[in-house]
Amino acid sequence: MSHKVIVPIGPYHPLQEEPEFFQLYVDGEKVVDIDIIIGYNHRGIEKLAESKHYDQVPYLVERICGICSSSHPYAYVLSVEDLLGGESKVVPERALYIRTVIDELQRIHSHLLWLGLVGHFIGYNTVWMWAWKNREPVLDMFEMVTGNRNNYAMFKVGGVRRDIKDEDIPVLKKTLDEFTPAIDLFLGAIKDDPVIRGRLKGVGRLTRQQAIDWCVVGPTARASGIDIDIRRDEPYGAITRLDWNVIIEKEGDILAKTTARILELYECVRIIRQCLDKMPKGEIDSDVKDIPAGEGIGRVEAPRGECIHFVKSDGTNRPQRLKIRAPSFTNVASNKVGAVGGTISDAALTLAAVDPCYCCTERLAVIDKSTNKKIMNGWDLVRLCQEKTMQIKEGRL
Amino acid sequence: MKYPKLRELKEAVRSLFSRPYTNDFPRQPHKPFERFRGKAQFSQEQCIGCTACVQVCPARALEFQDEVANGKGKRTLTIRWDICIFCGQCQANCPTEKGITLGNEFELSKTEERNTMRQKIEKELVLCECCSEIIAPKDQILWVARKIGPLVFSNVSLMLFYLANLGLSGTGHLQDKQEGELKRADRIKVLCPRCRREAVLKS
Repeated sequence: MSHKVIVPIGPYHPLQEEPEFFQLYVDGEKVVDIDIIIGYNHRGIEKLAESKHYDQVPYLVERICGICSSSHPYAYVLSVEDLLGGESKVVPERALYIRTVIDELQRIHSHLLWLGLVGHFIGYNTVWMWAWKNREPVLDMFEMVTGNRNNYAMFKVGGVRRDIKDEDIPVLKKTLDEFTPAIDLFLGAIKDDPVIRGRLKGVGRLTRQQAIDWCVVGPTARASGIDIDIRRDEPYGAITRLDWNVIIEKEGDILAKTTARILELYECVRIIRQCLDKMPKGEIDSDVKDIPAGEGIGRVEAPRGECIHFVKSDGTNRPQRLKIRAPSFTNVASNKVGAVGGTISDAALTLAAVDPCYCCTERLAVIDKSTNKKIMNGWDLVRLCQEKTMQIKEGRL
Repeated sequence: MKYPKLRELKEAVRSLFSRPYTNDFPRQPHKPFERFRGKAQFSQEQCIGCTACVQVCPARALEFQDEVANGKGKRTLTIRWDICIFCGQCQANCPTEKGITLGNEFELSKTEERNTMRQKIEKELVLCECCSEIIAPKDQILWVARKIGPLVFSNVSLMLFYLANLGLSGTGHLQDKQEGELKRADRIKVLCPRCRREAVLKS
């Protein structure tokens, strides 16, 4: 006697970056199908950008997302600089290094936030607290350099707005030195802890072929063995002058996604350290006056994947059209294969593993299809997820 | 299997003897970094009332209003902290660099009425001596005059106003103002661009 249950997740929450609405079709414990509906929180940012000056748009687009609030302005300024002949022609050398530092610092704090939330979902609240505790010095570095923990207001067409001062560099380096043992700790926990391994291994698996079929980007794709990274494929900033690696994992499950992100943290630290060492003296802004007519594209490897901005200019001081494609847009669709076939206690984890904003999973309700009665809410699903971890723990002990 | 247990034990012992990582926030105030972008405030002395900040503000948190009454003009500049996004664009584009500055204050949430969350400053406007059209705020004209130095004598209005302000010449020929007609003598007055053009071309 099996009855189908529909589990709606979403649709929106004011804190979300991209509101999603998931409807899980559940047969007993198993997820048999999932519907993904997006487009709930239309803020009209693309239209709003058409009413702002080229110099004001970065402030608008960095508020698309509080977590990747340097990726969006970066992609935007790259697309405008594409009209002017390319980033390397317009932007002074020192500004390129500063841009890379900010971009990589942001990747560190975004990955740590993700790690903490995965820890929370599997019931390891210690991982959550520790990841966020170590994220705090990174945010402090942001506050020191840019003047704010979020919404950095650093990017502008033709350069950056604020310089990294010489007296800040030793502080930054010291924080990075103190941060490296924390990454060792997380990597150790993922590698050694049998419960975390048991909980994450084989869950929400996305094979290489599936990843290609569903066009996933960023760490989600790299965890499935696809070798893509915009930083290497279409370099921007000072990244070509530095020594670093693209992290690729083969498995495609949540363990691989977690390992890929943690290993990426090492690369971020390496990149920032090299930037701070090699940073030349000089101007940080080339004072761009006119934007010629034409079309430009900017691509940036955001923490979640490839972020694309397209700008059409008609030669005035405002963009005629701005089109944005955020990475989660493509990644979220892959849940269609990632979550189906798994159990309902893995669902919250799988949906979270592609790194959308998690607030969505906090707003879900399980409704019995036959009676139309609410039987579970978002917290229940997270609790289910955490209980499974407890069971694994007790079973092994 | 043994290694993680040992590591956990080490962490547990260390945590037992260390202080909490979090701080006691409301009682122990947070001190922001030196370059923190906090509450933006006008400086009555440094602001010249040019409204450059109003033009560049991406959130439209700044606004200005001009009022002319009884031959005297007044410009009111307002910053609204409930709309402000603390981006620092106003400070970066201020011609005097100190007219509006972002301070370190960040505890701005209040339960009071929304319209108390703003700062207003008033600037005296200079009016055309013939048609009472607004020329610019007094402080802005003086700032420009000081900035361009001897070049101030290339513009009659600027020169007259500057000299009058230094106490070297009288001002106000408003008593012999005649409606609709500009005389040749009107050229030696503080005029708006439109009146000046008319006085030079038509008289």
